[in-house]
Amino acid sequence: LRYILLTHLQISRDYNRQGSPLLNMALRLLAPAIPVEIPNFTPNQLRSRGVVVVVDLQKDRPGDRARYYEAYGRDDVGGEPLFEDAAAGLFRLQVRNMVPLFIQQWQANNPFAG
Amino acid sequence: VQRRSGRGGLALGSWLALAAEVSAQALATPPLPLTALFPHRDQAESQARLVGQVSNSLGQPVAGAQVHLEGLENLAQPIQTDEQGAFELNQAPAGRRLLTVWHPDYEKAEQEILLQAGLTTPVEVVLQVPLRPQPRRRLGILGVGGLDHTRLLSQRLAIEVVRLGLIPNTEKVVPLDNRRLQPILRQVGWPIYELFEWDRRKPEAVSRFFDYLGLEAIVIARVDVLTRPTSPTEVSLRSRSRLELWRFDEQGNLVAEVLAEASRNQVERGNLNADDLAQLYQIQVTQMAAEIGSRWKKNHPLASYLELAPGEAPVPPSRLDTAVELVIPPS
Repeated sequence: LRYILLTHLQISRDYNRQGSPLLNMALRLLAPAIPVEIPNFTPNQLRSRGVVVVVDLQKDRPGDRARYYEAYGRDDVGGEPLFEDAAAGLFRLQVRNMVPLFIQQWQANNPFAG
Repeated sequence: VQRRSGRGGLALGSWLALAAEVSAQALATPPLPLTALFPHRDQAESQARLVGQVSNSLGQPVAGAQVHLEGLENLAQPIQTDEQGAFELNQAPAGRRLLTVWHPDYEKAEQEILLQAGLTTPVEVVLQVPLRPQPRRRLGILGVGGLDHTRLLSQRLAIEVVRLGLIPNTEKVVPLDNRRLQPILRQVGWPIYELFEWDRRKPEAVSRFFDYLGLEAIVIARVDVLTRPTSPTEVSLRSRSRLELWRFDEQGNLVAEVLAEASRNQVERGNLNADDLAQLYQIQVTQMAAEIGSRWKKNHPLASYLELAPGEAPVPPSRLDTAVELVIPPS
């Protein structure tokens, strides 16, 4: 065994406070003196961050700079709050879409070239 | 080199000549054989012992399976497992070897094992039932969920649907268990929740799944939940369930349709633990199954799949009639 790939994924499901841009634009036109925005209270801001660390067991020594690659996934789904399984499905898709991003990074900076 | 350059008299050229001479001497003496580094072993010590157990995927021993070890071709009689599914090889050659186990009722299993001289290596071989396409005749029912708890709830919905008689448990109906499908899913190449994804359908994979299980159509039960706080002291438990029918039409296109949908919304006190939540959701699932059942009494969408063969008696729906009485003895 020469290389070990450590993978890590963080997900978060937050409230999106941005609200509907059309509705807020209309509000701003109607009452320009009041700086109020109507937020969106659905917990449908899905964020994920995937990290891959490549360890070369032959060359790397403690204290070396980690060969570290990361990719992000983001989804903002409006409407009703997503149910848990539906949100999990979107997170799975985000992870799948991270793979080409990692491949791009490896093409630019190949961790297995040494 | 340090010593010679310390003398100061030697030019670089003569140093090179010296180095060449030293390397020529090194080449002239034959390299030390690596085996000399290790203590000498006689023939008997380079033999390893192998004991093995052959069973099927249910854990039952497989008797009469033929065992073959690479490098041990010319045996007087072939090695076979005994009634307990065990076998033993006392004089096996050491090293990395390929072990092949073969039985007419199972798929051939191959496994690489590392045998060390003078040691006994235990090995366990699990034989799988071969997957062969079957004629598509039956109706499957399966609970599908992408998360652990939604999978359990979906499986619960599937069980309730059969128990309440929405889909009578006849010979044509196969209630499928997620845990038993692993060999088939490995063959199909998708996990179950991706195989039956509503948005991204995979007709070829679903077709193979149907072939291996002999399914004409499958009812997919799904349950999804959402737990959210409604106030600082209360939490709302929302669940929705759906029964889908997946089948292939006459042109061979994969068709998925929604048979029934139901949902529940319940507000409970906020200090529930995970077990409480799971139980409340299970009750919701049972209620939803009953609701769908009452809707289906008038118009059953699966009637065409459930036609009884002539002479077959309908199966009465089973009922839970158990009463649990908790008696606390007076102290």
